[in-house]
Amino acid sequence: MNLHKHAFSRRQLAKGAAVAALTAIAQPPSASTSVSASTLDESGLTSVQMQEVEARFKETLRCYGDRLSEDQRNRIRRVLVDNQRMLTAIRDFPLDNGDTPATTLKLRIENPSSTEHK
Amino acid sequence: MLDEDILYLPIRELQAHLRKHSFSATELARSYLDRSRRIGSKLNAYVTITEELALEQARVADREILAGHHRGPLHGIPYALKDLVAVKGYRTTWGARPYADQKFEYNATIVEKLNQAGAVLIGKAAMIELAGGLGYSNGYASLTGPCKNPWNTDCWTCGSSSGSGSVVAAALAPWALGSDTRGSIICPASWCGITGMRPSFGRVSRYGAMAIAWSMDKLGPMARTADDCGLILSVIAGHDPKDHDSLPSAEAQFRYPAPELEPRMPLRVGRLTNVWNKIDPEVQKAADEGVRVLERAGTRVSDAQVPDGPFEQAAELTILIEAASAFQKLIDSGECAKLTDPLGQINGYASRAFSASDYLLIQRVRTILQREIDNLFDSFDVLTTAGQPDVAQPLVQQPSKLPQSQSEQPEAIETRAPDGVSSLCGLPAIAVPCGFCSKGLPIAIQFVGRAGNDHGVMAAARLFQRQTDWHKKRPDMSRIAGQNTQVL
Repeated sequence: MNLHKHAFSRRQLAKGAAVAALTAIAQPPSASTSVSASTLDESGLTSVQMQEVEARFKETLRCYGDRLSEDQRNRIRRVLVDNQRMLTAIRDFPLDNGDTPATTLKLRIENPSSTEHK
Repeated sequence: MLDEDILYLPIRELQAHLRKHSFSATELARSYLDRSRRIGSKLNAYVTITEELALEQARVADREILAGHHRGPLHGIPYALKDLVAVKGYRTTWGARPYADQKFEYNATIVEKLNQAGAVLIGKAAMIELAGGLGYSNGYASLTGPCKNPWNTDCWTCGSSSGSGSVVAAALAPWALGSDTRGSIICPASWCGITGMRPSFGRVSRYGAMAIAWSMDKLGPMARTADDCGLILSVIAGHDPKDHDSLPSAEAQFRYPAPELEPRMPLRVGRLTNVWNKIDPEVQKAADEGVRVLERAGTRVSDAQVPDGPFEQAAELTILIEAASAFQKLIDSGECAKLTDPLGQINGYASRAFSASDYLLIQRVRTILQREIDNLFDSFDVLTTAGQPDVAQPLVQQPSKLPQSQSEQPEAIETRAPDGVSSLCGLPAIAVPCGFCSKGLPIAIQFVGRAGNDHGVMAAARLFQRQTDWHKKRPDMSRIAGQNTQVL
């Protein structure tokens, strides 16, 4: 994958890409965006969303904490904040019950002639 | 050794020379091998040069061509392969230290197809570690060091098909295979001044290629011209039952040339006006001029806008979550600590924290975004914008450790960046050179088509290249090679 300079999480720097206000992103109205802006902290997340970040952070440390330096722990927490922001945009998107996921299951399994390598 | 003018020829012309016996496939292979050794190492373009295999394949091609047995457009034509594709008996490192000695005892489907086509494998091209699957910070995130841009070796080639871009731009091979999960062909092609095509999702088998994100990974050609990309795609496309996401035979095959499958003229071109948060003015100017070239060539151009929606977030999250699964063993074992990039060392841990519910939600949003993008193509055959918003960036020194504490202020995300939109939705795209900035670095324009309409993007790119000669420009390799090559 390519990467952009100020994009977050997986893509960190290296490429001179644009920075603009996150608030410019048009989002359809939904329950989560109806939360008052005053409840957003400097990360752009609500306290409820930050609680979710902290829960994920604790779980990550429970599983992998013994491998991580303090720097790395701090970085993971920031990545989790970034990930939460992205998830928020997804959760804000209006969906109906019948909106199916872009996952596939092929009912007819083909049997290639030489599958011995896989 | 053959002259540099020969080595920069497109495939179609090289093939004509081989058939006329102007030179042999072996001479051609030796010339590219020599150049790959001399220049490739200075660019960090290769992981492995497969000299023995190349010369054997070239000898076989020569025998067959002499006997009048022609296998097709790639017969006797050398190429390089991004080092995430398995070649039996050779190292396949995925560009990453934990896999530095990895070997597979089988060929990827695409390698089998290229073998059957009589192509000659020169080497395995360098790449960003794990193709950036677990994140990376800069061009140093590679087993073989930073890949340098032949147009300016202080600059990067972009990633993750970094070596493939460098190989083609420096004429170390006439074409190279790249992979693209989210822009990894389009960006290096743009920055290296070559033509790179990302086929529709499912058209080219990925069996035997490293997975990052199964629902987004694609393999595609990086070459000198759109015509070359068409020739290559006609060989490597096709259904493969070993790839779960392979399109059915009728949809996967790519006949080329096939004018009857191309959009009727005048081509309807949608000029995207809302896809970059910020774009280098020189890039914008060159892309605008590129659109005017198409208008003068008789296309019908009007403005188009990508609809609102969390395209980039959906693409990014899909990759993060699928990569955390694809590299689960690497993450759980702690071997990811051996990756070069500090972000790659830890990002997988954070990605393991996503839930199944998160993933399904993203995929439900994805189907709607796909539909909305597809609707755009009721009005346009192709959409166009700059290949990238910028030109090749300077190589940034590798940080010795993670950056110090940063603000948690949200940074902007380019929600409608073409790479994210089209990769998320499986759309074909092609980047072609359209000019240079004042620093002499290449600029590209890209064409994006409806899923399955690879012929459409190919037609637009070929039309553009018939009107321009940007794709014929070459970097001054004498600075790199230390040889007396002519500045062109």
